[in-house]
Amino acid sequence: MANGISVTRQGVPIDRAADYQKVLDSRWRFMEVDYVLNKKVTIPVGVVQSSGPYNQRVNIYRHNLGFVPAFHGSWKPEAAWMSYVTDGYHADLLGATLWADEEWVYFTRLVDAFNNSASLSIDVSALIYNLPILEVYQAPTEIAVGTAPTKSNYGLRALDGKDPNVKIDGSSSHGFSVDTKKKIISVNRVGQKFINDWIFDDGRITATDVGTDTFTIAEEPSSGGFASRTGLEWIKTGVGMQLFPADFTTFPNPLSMASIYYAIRTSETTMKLAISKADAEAGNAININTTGSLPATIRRAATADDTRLAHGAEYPPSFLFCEAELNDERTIPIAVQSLKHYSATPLVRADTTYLYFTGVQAVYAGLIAYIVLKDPIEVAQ
Amino acid sequence: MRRATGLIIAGETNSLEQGQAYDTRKYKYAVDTNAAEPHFQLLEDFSGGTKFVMPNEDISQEEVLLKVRHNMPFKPHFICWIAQTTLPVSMSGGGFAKQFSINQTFMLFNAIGLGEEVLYADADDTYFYIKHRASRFGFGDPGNYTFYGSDFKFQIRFMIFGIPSYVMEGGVLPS
Repeated sequence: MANGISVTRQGVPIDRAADYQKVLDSRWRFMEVDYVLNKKVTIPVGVVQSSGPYNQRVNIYRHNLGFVPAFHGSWKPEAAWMSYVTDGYHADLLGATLWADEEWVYFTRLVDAFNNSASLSIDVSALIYNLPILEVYQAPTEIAVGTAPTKSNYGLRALDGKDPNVKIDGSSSHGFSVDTKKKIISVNRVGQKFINDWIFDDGRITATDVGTDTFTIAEEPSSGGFASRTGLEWIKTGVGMQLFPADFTTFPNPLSMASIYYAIRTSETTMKLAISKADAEAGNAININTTGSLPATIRRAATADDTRLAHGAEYPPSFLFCEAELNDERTIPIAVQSLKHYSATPLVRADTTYLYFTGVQAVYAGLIAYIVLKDPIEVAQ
Repeated sequence: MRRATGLIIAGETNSLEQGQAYDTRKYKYAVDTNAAEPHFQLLEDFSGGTKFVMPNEDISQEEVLLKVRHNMPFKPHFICWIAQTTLPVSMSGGGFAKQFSINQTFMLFNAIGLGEEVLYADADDTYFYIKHRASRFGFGDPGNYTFYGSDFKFQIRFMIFGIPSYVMEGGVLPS
């Protein structure tokens, strides 16, 4: 049985109000600030470790929300010449970032392998939202197209109690958590997406059997800061990939650089290749005539879904996003950075179905957590 | 003294103190659509501003392209989605898709010999701004460089919320 409360903006009838014309709906999540954090934090000396560079972590605020919250945050060292967030270079603040996990809002900085990082004091400020950003949430889209409001003297207002100077019958722009005279933003969808995940799905071919058209496959060794994802689980029958011989020239005949081939997984350590996904699923392998230069590298081919996510809004929506971090096994996300305040990359295109993410001057690859708002980005309604 | 009253909608919890889905005591992303100067606006064909001409020294120039008096007693939280809709002729040969960035967009970036040019949103205790800044760094060709400015046009959609910002200037914590 559906019980609850739903309130539209003033003058908009409840049965024809677009989702984004509601100021309160008990079925939906709203962009609600759980806690305003303002704190001066002392970062202790970051001592060089014999094991090499590491991220020094300083816990700042225990949020007690029981989930990883979305947040907007910034920090500033006491030195007045640096403005907030990331402007300017500071030798003792390499890679400095604010994070939130299931328990804390915390700060990390990189301590390198050569010099201790000095102790310093920073100011931290954040809006911590009552919104679990590492869970999946989808609000129903009920009505996508707005209705023009008519004149009405009916409405609902509730003060948030933060400013005693704001009166319930006043016209203040702030101080109300519910106000049918205002636009109040709710959440349509929350999720996580690995953009250009294909970059991390690779392996190598160590042997070619031209008699059976079979390739022996193995994991690609990790390569410093661009570590491969471990395992070959991504090689499933029907998955597209590209092949790069060791000398980048001598392909197993008749394969070539520009083509995408589709895996026929034959065992834990072997596969064949097909010219199309349909052929792969039917078991029709390419007849391989020569070995090619080994070991060859294979990498999963990008698909359209590697750079886009379905937003479920039925119109191009506004959005927020941040970068997320995986656990050591690279299997589940466990922490997030601040929602982007100034985003330079990736750029985001929106249509009625998808949000598309594109890097600037380089391919953008990374795990993002995103919030799709019930708010059409192409209009001011 | 103001009493603590309001509306709380419970989430999947037995507590009124934790796990709530909605609480009127907490800030919301609320935008005043009736403000004297708009707190919520969609700007089309917004010009990128002055085509600054600058010598190759470590200098910057900045101008305010939009100023909105928000009439709130704090620097407000805002979000501004910016998309480039017209590019300089030299850049737009193949056509391009409308792509958004949040609160800033670069018109010239990662060209240290030429400089950097950016359009960005900002606010203080009185105003919300759209600003245009061009910078040179003193590297490379010593001659003057003419920045793009009005060769760019933008779609800008901004919301100024009734929430104090989390980004502060001057190292002073809000009281």
